[in-house]
Amino acid sequence: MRVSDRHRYDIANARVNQAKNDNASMLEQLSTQKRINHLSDDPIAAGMSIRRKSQISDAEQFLKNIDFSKGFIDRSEAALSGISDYLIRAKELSVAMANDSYDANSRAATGREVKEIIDGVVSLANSTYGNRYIFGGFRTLTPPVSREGHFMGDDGAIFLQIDENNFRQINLQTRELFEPNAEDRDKGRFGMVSTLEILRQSLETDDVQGIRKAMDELEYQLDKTSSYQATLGSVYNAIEENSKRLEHRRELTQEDLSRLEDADVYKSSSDFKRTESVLQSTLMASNKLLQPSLMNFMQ
Amino acid sequence: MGGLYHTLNIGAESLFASRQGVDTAGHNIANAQTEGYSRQRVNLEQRHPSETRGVIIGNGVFVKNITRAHDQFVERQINDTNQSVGHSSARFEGLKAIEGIYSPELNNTLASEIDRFFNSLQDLSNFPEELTARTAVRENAQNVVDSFKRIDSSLKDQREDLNKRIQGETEEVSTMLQEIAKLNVAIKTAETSASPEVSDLLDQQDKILRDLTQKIDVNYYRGEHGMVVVRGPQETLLVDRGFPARFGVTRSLDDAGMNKIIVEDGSSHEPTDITRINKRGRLAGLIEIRDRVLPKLLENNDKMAKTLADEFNAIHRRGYGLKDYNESIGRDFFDFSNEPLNAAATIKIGGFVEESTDAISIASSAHAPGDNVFVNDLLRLKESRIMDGESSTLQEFYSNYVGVFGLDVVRSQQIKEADDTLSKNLNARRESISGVSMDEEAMNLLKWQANFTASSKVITTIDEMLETVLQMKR
Repeated sequence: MRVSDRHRYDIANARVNQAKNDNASMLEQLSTQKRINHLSDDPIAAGMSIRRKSQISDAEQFLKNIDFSKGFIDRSEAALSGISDYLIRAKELSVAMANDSYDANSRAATGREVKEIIDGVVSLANSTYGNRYIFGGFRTLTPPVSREGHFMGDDGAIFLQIDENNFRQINLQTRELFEPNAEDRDKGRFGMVSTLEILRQSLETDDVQGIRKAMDELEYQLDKTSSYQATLGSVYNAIEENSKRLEHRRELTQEDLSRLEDADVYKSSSDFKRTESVLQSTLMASNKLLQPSLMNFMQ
Repeated sequence: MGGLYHTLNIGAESLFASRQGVDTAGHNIANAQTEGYSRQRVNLEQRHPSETRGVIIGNGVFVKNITRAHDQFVERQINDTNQSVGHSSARFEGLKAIEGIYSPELNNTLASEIDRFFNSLQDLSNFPEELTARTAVRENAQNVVDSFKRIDSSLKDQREDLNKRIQGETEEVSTMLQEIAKLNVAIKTAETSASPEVSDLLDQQDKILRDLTQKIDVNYYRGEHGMVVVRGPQETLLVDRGFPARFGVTRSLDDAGMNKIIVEDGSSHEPTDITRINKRGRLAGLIEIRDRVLPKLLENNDKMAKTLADEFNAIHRRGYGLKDYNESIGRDFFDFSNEPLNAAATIKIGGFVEESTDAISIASSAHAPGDNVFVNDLLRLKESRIMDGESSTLQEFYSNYVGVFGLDVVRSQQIKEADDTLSKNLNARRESISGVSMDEEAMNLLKWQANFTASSKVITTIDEMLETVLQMKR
């Protein structure tokens, strides 16, 4: 086959160009540390990486939600155990004061302590997390329990997403904690604050019968409070469990994503070296190739 | 037997032929790097012998003609491949330009903006009464809206750009047709019976034809007097003898004012619209992207914008807001034009929400600032199959359509590379026939030079012989 000079130049040109292209794309990989720099580098992996990124961002957000939920639940738990401490103290007082050995004066003095207890319970019932009332249902900006013990919140259940398709209720619907429901009312039960109020009045009026009645009633209120605490505990555990799972999954997805789009640094730097030396030798060979011609030997 | 002058004449003609040989070698060397040049060679022929006194004697040499080294079958294959090369390379270039819009390097792709928007909704679910959470939702919604618009306008810019390129290419084709027609006239004029082909003019015309075949679907043949007849798509007559057809664009009234390519060849009264008929060459590739790839992408982007906005609004309308808005429902979160294929271009944050973040309505009951019931419904949208007849989620739809597009880019690159290789091989074959080799020309120079020297010897010998003859008489 005849080899024309143009053809030789064209070949040299094409080879140098190819070597330069390979070298440039390796340089890009090396400097971005990413295997996929253009959609066309690997469209399937690019699509998958969009999905992975979305999953990671979801997991991070769910973890954030869980952190917030935990704070909210911790605050609720602290408030409930405070209330239950107050109720226990009130019960102790009622047990002691029901004893005939105390006189009206000491009962009246205890009544003043019970008044403090009532203030304490109401203030705990109106606990806030950030600037929202935790026991008010959806009415988070107004105090849910009045000084008289009326519940002024609503029955809103606040759900937060802690996983794909997993929403958890993180607040307590506390209407029945503070107010008797219809059935209780039929049985002659009272609300939490009303019970304490009965105790206080009975103490002040030196009414031992009333004190005994309040004692029973307090027992009932304590039971109710601890069952609410138990509910919170189980929600807390479920969320905690889920957060561990999420963190694990986030790690795995991150690894997956890295496998999809990150360049293997050792491989790309050795590839870079390789393409660079290919380029060098192509340039050198082209230089030698284009030199000799019979023209050079004609005198 | 001829006289001495006859021999002198033979020497002179030989001298001329040798000089012509050097001349042609020089012409070849001069054009060694000229695009489309075919090397030429001198064809010598013996003169007719004559008979003198019963003896047939040779009458020397003459330059019969100078022809080019040319293989019309290779040429035809090159032109056929050129049509595919033009098509695939134009397609690849066009797709590559669009690819940038969906580049994974961009951190602010639509997918990540949607992620961030849903994350801000999660924060709103945590703190429904917080101004900052509400503001973040509105800001992130604005970013999503901007992303839809960015994609929409980038795609439309690309379409406009392609439209301009189509116009440019069309003008180039028109110029080429005129050149070919002009060369037809020149070829016919220069042609003589002794040398039926005019190498340099044919080379020039072949070169233009090679460029032309890259642009559009044409076929051609050489007719009377070596003039070429070029036919375009649907048998339109593009060049007939000295007459080029009018080849140009008109803006169509529909299709967003895109250019149509029309041909007026005088054979029919109506200009022929070849926009969709032309299937090969660069123009076909560009038109395919403009009229098929881009509209599909625009439609997908639009579908996403419309579905997201529709589904979002449907939930949002049922909710109560904060403060001034806590007793009323029925507000839209996104506004967009309901005309078909116009959602992505017109989507924006709804008027109420734009005015106040309190209008973000996510409460299931009035006067309930902590109510996040509808945010949770909105959050479920992210994982629900709301796209494409309930077959995929927003993210899946996005990654699917972008992935399919990416595969198209990869495929078009592979096709282009295959076509390039084929064309390179054919060009190598053409070069091996028509290209100039310096070594060969150097040898030609040596050869003709030696011939020239020898021919001069003939003349000087005759000169000496004449001298002798003249000296016979004192």
